[in-house]
Amino acid sequence: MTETIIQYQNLVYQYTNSNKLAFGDVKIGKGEHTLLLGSSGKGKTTLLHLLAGLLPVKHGEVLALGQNMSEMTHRALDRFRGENFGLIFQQAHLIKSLSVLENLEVARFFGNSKRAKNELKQLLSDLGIAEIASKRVTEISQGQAQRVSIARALVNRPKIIFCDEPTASLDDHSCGLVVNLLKSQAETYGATLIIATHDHRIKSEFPKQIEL
Amino acid sequence: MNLPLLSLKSLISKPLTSILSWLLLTFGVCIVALILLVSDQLKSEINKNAAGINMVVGAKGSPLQIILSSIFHIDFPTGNISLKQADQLSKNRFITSAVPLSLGDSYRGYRIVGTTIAYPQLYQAQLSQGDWFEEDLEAIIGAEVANNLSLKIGEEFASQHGLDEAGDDHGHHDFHVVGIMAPTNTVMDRLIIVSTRSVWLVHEHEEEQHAEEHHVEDSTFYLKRLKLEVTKEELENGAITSLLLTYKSPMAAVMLPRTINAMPDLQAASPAFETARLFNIIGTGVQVLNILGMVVVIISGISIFIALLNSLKERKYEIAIMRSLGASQSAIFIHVILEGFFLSVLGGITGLLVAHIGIGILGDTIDGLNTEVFFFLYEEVYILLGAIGLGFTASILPAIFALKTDISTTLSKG
Repeated sequence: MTETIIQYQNLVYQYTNSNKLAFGDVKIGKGEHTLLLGSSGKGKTTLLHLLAGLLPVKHGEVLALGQNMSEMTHRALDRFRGENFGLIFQQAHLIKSLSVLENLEVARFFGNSKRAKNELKQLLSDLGIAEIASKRVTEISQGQAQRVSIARALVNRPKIIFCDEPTASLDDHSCGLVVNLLKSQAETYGATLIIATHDHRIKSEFPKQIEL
Repeated sequence: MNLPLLSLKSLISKPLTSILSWLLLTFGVCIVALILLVSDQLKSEINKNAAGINMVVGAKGSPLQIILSSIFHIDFPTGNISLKQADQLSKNRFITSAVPLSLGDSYRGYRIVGTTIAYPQLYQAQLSQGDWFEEDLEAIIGAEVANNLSLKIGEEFASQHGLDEAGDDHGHHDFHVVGIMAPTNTVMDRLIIVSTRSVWLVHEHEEEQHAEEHHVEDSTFYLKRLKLEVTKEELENGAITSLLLTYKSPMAAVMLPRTINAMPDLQAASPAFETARLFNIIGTGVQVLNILGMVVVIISGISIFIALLNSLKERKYEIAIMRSLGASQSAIFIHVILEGFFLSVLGGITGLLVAHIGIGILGDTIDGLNTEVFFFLYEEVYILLGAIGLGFTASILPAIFALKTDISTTLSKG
């Protein structure tokens, strides 16, 4: 048994109305890339946000890297998330006023990264987008933007990379590329991928799946 | 990357709205600062020029006009008073000194004042070159006159009748420059000083033909208080424009105006009272301008507020992403506040700068205003602080909205 990277117990999310979602108990080991599957409305994104610390845990417990996230203060949770997690969303949501490289620098700044500035360019070339480093984000394509958002998630050498529908807006070719990129980069950084998706194209790539 | 840089980049990325807010603030601050600077310089100018003069006596007319013409040399004199009356008045026991002024002539726009050495002494004027006048038709010129007209010692010029450049030349009598005064930053810099008799001499020829006997030396009198030496004829018929009086005791302020105004031909005018009245007259206009300036400043605050609020709609995702990258709520708050802060600091500084440049231009165009471009008042610090406070206030609400961004809801919407 590999060491557990993240686990949750009795995790329940209470919506503002009386609806609630119970997620039960799950353990995910280090390097054990996991898919969160389920059709819309089943709470994939909600679970992902709870695990990534974007939503406060009110019922149950989430333990990540051996720390109880449900007991952290807001500020501590922000810092913990910035330093240990990388997040990738369906849309890249890059900061429009900045260049591609500067978007990575923002991640480095908010995540208190020890990473040297010149490594960011290396990161871009690892993802095959070194040539757009100084471009404004409004000038790049959607596929490039998604790669930049992957690079941004990797800036702080995350232990866990959370992805929310990372391939939903991509064509088959790009989808394959992104999945391979995610896998290889996770390998390089020793990070664990947790991907919420309903994209059947990538199901076969990841053996560990949690059906909601 | 850091927060100030992030805020700056955000401002630069929306140049039009940023420039609009910045221009509005610059304009508003400029108006408020300009009013402050002009009224301060005007006041100090007035105080400098009226220093040491308790009262001006001239011919019957508007006391404000007497002050403007005899102290600031900007309006026209009310008329003449007879030397005899002036002499009698100067012997009053409430008075320590009385300086006679004869106005009405000029040279290329600069006024010629017939007076005694006591006049420049009122302003502690020093000579930078040459000597004080002793003979008739000798002239001492102020620093600005010497500079702008390039007049040097020994040079001659003919005075013109009237106070503007269009006046006729007094043909035959040329003045010559015997001394140049050092700058005093008072009205003295813009004057040409000659003896009282010089003015009489110049005018004699224009009046009806005088009989030869006038030039036969009569026995002369010395008018002690006026420091004038005159012939009997001159004492009887001579006239001057006004008298600058200094009081012996505060009692004089009560007694003298009554005595003087009771005389049929004389009018007393108090520089302190008249300048206060002048400020009252222009005070309303100043207030209206001030309010206008404030309104523009407030509008610029509103424009900062609206610009930030509008940008929040677009930046909701960016803010959520920053939070997901580890930014705390306070970091987001500071990020938004800094934008308003930068705009207001920039607008405040450029506003003050433009005001100073503006007053420099005003000083060059308006007569009688010796303005200094790089003269800073401590009130300007308050204007700057006010502008910054405004930028801060305008961005507080948008900053609070920004920090309250629900990251999970925002990011789950795609």
